Amino acid sequence: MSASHLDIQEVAAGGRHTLVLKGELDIASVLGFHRQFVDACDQGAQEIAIDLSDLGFMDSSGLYALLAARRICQQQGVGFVLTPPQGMVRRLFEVTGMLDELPFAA
Amino acid sequence: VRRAVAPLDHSYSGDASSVSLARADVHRFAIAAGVAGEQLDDVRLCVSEAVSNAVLHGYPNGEAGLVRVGVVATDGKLLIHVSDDGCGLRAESPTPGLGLGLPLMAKLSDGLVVRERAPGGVELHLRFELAAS
Repeated sequence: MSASHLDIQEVAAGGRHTLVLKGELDIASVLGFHRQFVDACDQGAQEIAIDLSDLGFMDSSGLYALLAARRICQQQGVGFVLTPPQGMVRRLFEVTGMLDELPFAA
Repeated sequence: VRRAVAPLDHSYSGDASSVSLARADVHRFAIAAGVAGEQLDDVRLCVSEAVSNAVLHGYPNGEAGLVRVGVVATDGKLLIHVSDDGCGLRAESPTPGLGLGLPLMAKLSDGLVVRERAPGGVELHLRFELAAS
Protein backbone atom coordinates (compact mmCIF):
# COMPACT_ATOMS: atom_id res chain seq x y z
CA MET A 1 0.00 0.00 0.00
CA SER A 2 1.38 3.41 -0.93
CA ALA A 3 0.49 7.03 -0.19
CA SER A 4 -2.62 6.53 -2.35
CA HIS A 5 -4.41 4.70 0.49
CA LEU A 6 -6.45 7.88 0.99
CA ASP A 7 -9.14 8.71 -1.56
CA ILE A 8 -10.43 12.30 -1.59
CA GLN A 9 -13.54 13.27 -3.51
CA GLU A 10 -14.31 16.98 -3.81
CA VAL A 11 -17.89 18.17 -4.21
CA ALA A 12 -18.46 21.89 -4.87
CA ALA A 13 -21.93 23.37 -4.51
CA GLY A 14 -22.27 27.14 -4.40
CA GLY A 15 -19.57 28.44 -2.12
CA ARG A 16 -19.35 25.20 -0.16
CA HIS A 17 -16.61 22.72 -0.97
CA THR A 18 -16.87 19.30 0.62
CA LEU A 19 -13.87 16.98 0.77
CA VAL A 20 -15.02 13.41 1.31
CA LEU A 21 -12.22 11.29 2.78
CA LYS A 22 -12.14 7.51 2.39
CA GLY A 23 -9.32 5.21 3.43
CA GLU A 24 -6.50 6.06 5.82
CA LEU A 25 -5.19 9.44 6.93
CA ASP A 26 -1.64 9.12 8.28
CA ILE A 27 1.81 10.66 7.70
CA ALA A 28 1.94 9.19 4.18
CA SER A 29 -1.37 10.73 3.10
CA VAL A 30 -1.66 14.03 5.04
CA LEU A 31 0.30 15.92 2.41
CA GLY A 32 -2.18 14.92 -0.33
CA PHE A 33 -5.04 15.97 1.90
CA HIS A 34 -3.40 19.30 2.68
CA ARG A 35 -2.78 20.04 -1.02
CA GLN A 36 -6.38 19.33 -1.96
CA PHE A 37 -7.61 21.40 0.96
CA VAL A 38 -5.45 24.38 -0.10
CA ASP A 39 -6.71 23.99 -3.70
CA ALA A 40 -10.29 24.23 -2.44
CA CYS A 41 -9.41 27.40 -0.51
CA ASP A 42 -7.75 28.87 -3.60
CA GLN A 43 -10.91 28.22 -5.63
CA GLY A 44 -12.71 30.80 -3.50
CA ALA A 45 -14.66 28.50 -1.20
CA GLN A 46 -16.79 30.29 1.38
CA GLU A 47 -17.03 27.17 3.49
CA ILE A 48 -15.05 23.95 3.52
CA ALA A 49 -16.58 20.78 4.90
CA ILE A 50 -14.45 17.74 5.61
CA ASP A 51 -16.56 14.58 5.54
CA LEU A 52 -14.98 12.02 7.87
CA SER A 53 -17.96 9.66 7.99
CA ASP A 54 -16.35 7.02 5.73
CA LEU A 55 -12.76 7.46 6.88
CA GLY A 56 -11.51 4.09 8.07
CA PHE A 57 -8.36 5.10 9.92
CA MET A 58 -6.68 8.23 11.24
CA ASP A 59 -3.82 8.83 13.66
CA SER A 60 -2.49 11.98 15.34
CA SER A 61 -0.91 13.20 12.09
CA GLY A 62 -4.46 13.41 10.68
CA LEU A 63 -5.62 15.36 13.73
CA TYR A 64 -2.76 17.77 13.22
CA ALA A 65 -3.72 18.20 9.54
CA LEU A 66 -7.34 18.98 10.48
CA LEU A 67 -6.27 21.53 13.10
CA ALA A 68 -3.95 23.14 10.54
CA ALA A 69 -6.83 23.27 8.02
CA ARG A 70 -9.09 24.93 10.57
CA ARG A 71 -6.38 27.51 11.31
CA ILE A 72 -6.02 28.35 7.61
CA CYS A 73 -9.80 28.75 7.29
CA GLN A 74 -9.88 31.05 10.31
CA GLN A 75 -7.07 33.16 8.85
CA GLN A 76 -8.85 33.45 5.49
CA GLY A 77 -12.35 33.98 6.86
CA VAL A 78 -13.57 30.70 5.36
CA GLY A 79 -16.12 28.54 7.19
CA PHE A 80 -14.89 25.15 8.42
CA VAL A 81 -16.97 22.19 9.50
CA LEU A 82 -16.45 18.46 9.94
CA THR A 83 -18.91 15.64 9.29
CA PRO A 84 -18.54 13.34 12.30
CA PRO A 85 -16.42 10.20 11.97
CA GLN A 86 -17.37 6.71 13.09
CA GLY A 87 -15.66 3.76 14.72
CA MET A 88 -12.00 4.03 15.57
CA VAL A 89 -11.65 7.51 14.03
CA ARG A 90 -14.37 8.75 16.38
CA ARG A 91 -12.57 7.06 19.26
CA LEU A 92 -9.38 8.96 18.37
CA PHE A 93 -11.28 12.25 18.66
CA GLU A 94 -12.78 11.12 21.96
CA VAL A 95 -9.57 9.99 23.66
CA THR A 96 -7.69 13.13 22.59
CA GLY A 97 -10.50 15.49 23.63
CA MET A 98 -10.79 16.82 20.08
CA LEU A 99 -14.47 15.95 19.82
CA ASP A 100 -15.16 19.12 21.79
CA GLU A 101 -12.36 21.12 20.17
CA LEU A 102 -13.33 20.94 16.50
CA PRO A 103 -16.59 22.08 14.84
CA PHE A 104 -18.79 19.15 13.86
CA ALA A 105 -21.98 19.37 11.83
CA ALA A 106 -25.04 18.47 13.89
CA VAL B 1 -10.46 -16.71 21.31
CA ARG B 2 -6.73 -16.50 22.00
CA ARG B 3 -4.51 -18.47 19.62
CA ALA B 4 -0.79 -19.30 19.38
CA VAL B 5 0.76 -17.25 16.57
CA ALA B 6 4.36 -17.29 15.35
CA PRO B 7 6.13 -14.04 16.33
CA LEU B 8 6.27 -11.24 13.79
CA ASP B 9 9.65 -9.67 13.06
CA HIS B 10 9.84 -7.35 10.06
CA SER B 11 12.10 -4.52 8.90
CA TYR B 12 10.67 -1.63 6.90
CA SER B 13 12.33 1.27 5.14
CA GLY B 14 12.41 4.38 7.33
CA ASP B 15 9.94 6.42 5.30
CA ALA B 16 6.28 7.35 5.51
CA SER B 17 5.06 4.60 3.17
CA SER B 18 6.13 2.00 5.75
CA VAL B 19 3.62 3.19 8.34
CA SER B 20 0.57 1.65 6.64
CA LEU B 21 2.52 -1.53 5.82
CA ALA B 22 3.57 -2.06 9.43
CA ARG B 23 0.08 -1.15 10.64
CA ALA B 24 -1.49 -3.74 8.33
CA ASP B 25 1.02 -6.46 9.29
CA VAL B 26 0.49 -5.95 13.03
CA HIS B 27 -3.28 -5.71 12.53
CA ARG B 28 -3.29 -9.11 10.81
CA PHE B 29 -1.09 -10.58 13.54
CA ALA B 30 -3.35 -9.22 16.28
CA ILE B 31 -6.48 -10.65 14.64
CA ALA B 32 -4.77 -14.04 14.33
CA ALA B 33 -3.84 -13.82 18.02
CA GLY B 34 -7.49 -13.24 18.93
CA VAL B 35 -7.39 -9.49 19.62
CA ALA B 36 -10.74 -7.90 18.78
CA GLY B 37 -12.99 -4.88 19.19
CA GLU B 38 -11.75 -1.63 20.67
CA GLN B 39 -8.44 -3.18 21.71
CA LEU B 40 -7.73 -4.15 18.09
CA ASP B 41 -8.34 -0.51 17.09
CA ASP B 42 -6.00 0.61 19.87
CA VAL B 43 -3.23 -1.76 18.73
CA ARG B 44 -3.55 -0.47 15.16
CA LEU B 45 -3.44 3.16 16.27
CA CYS B 46 -0.48 2.66 18.62
CA VAL B 47 1.56 0.92 15.91
CA SER B 48 0.81 3.78 13.53
CA GLU B 49 1.99 6.30 16.13
CA ALA B 50 5.10 4.29 17.01
CA VAL B 51 6.25 3.75 13.42
CA SER B 52 5.43 7.37 12.52
CA ASN B 53 7.60 8.53 15.42
CA ALA B 54 10.45 6.28 14.28
CA VAL B 55 10.25 7.69 10.73
CA LEU B 56 9.78 11.36 11.66
CA HIS B 57 12.26 11.52 14.54
CA GLY B 58 14.68 8.75 13.59
CA TYR B 59 15.17 9.86 10.01
CA PRO B 60 13.91 13.47 10.01
CA ASN B 61 15.71 14.54 6.85
CA GLY B 62 14.98 11.48 4.77
CA GLU B 63 18.13 9.60 5.74
CA ALA B 64 18.22 5.96 4.66
CA GLY B 65 17.46 3.61 7.50
CA LEU B 66 15.24 0.86 8.79
CA VAL B 67 12.38 0.60 11.22
CA ARG B 68 12.05 -2.81 12.85
CA VAL B 69 8.75 -4.06 14.21
CA GLY B 70 8.40 -7.15 16.33
CA VAL B 71 5.24 -8.57 17.86
CA VAL B 72 4.71 -11.56 20.11
CA ALA B 73 1.59 -12.86 21.83
CA THR B 74 2.51 -14.66 25.03
CA ASP B 75 1.09 -15.26 28.50
CA GLY B 76 -2.06 -13.27 27.78
CA LYS B 77 -0.11 -10.27 26.53
CA LEU B 78 0.57 -8.71 23.16
CA LEU B 79 4.09 -7.26 23.20
CA ILE B 80 5.09 -4.86 20.41
CA HIS B 81 8.60 -3.60 19.80
CA VAL B 82 9.45 -0.79 17.36
CA SER B 83 13.02 0.42 16.89
CA ASP B 84 15.14 2.54 14.57
CA ASP B 85 18.83 3.33 14.10
CA GLY B 86 18.25 7.04 13.75
CA CYS B 87 18.96 10.28 15.57
CA GLY B 88 17.74 9.41 19.06
CA LEU B 89 15.22 10.97 21.43
CA ARG B 90 16.48 14.52 21.17
CA ALA B 91 16.10 14.75 17.42
CA GLU B 92 13.60 17.33 16.24
CA SER B 93 11.59 16.59 13.15
CA PRO B 94 11.17 19.29 10.48
CA THR B 95 7.58 18.04 10.25
CA PRO B 96 5.64 19.60 13.11
CA GLY B 97 3.15 17.61 15.11
CA LEU B 98 0.89 17.85 18.10
CA GLY B 99 3.12 15.83 20.38
CA LEU B 100 0.15 13.53 20.87
CA GLY B 101 1.80 10.28 19.82
CA LEU B 102 3.44 9.23 23.08
CA PRO B 103 0.54 10.33 25.34
CA LEU B 104 -1.87 8.46 23.05
CA MET B 105 0.19 5.26 23.20
CA ALA B 106 0.50 5.59 26.99
CA LYS B 107 -3.25 6.02 27.30
CA LEU B 108 -4.34 3.24 24.95
CA SER B 109 -1.81 0.55 25.90
CA ASP B 110 -1.21 -1.20 29.23
CA GLY B 111 2.47 -0.31 29.23
CA LEU B 112 4.83 1.93 27.28
CA VAL B 113 8.61 2.12 27.53
CA VAL B 114 10.76 4.36 25.30
CA ARG B 115 14.52 4.42 25.52
CA GLU B 116 17.60 5.21 23.47
CA ARG B 117 19.51 2.28 22.05
CA ALA B 118 23.22 1.99 22.83
CA PRO B 119 24.24 1.71 19.15
CA GLY B 120 22.02 4.69 18.30
CA GLY B 121 18.34 5.19 17.65
CA VAL B 122 15.30 4.58 19.81
CA GLU B 123 13.35 1.52 20.85
CA LEU B 124 9.76 1.56 21.97
CA HIS B 125 7.90 -1.22 23.75
CA LEU B 126 4.13 -1.50 24.00
CA ARG B 127 2.24 -4.01 26.13
CA PHE B 128 -1.42 -4.92 25.78
CA GLU B 129 -3.08 -7.20 28.33
CA LEU B 130 -5.40 -9.49 26.38
CA ALA B 131 -8.83 -10.34 27.70
CA ALA B 132 -9.10 -13.88 29.11
CA SER B 133 -10.48 -16.31 26.55
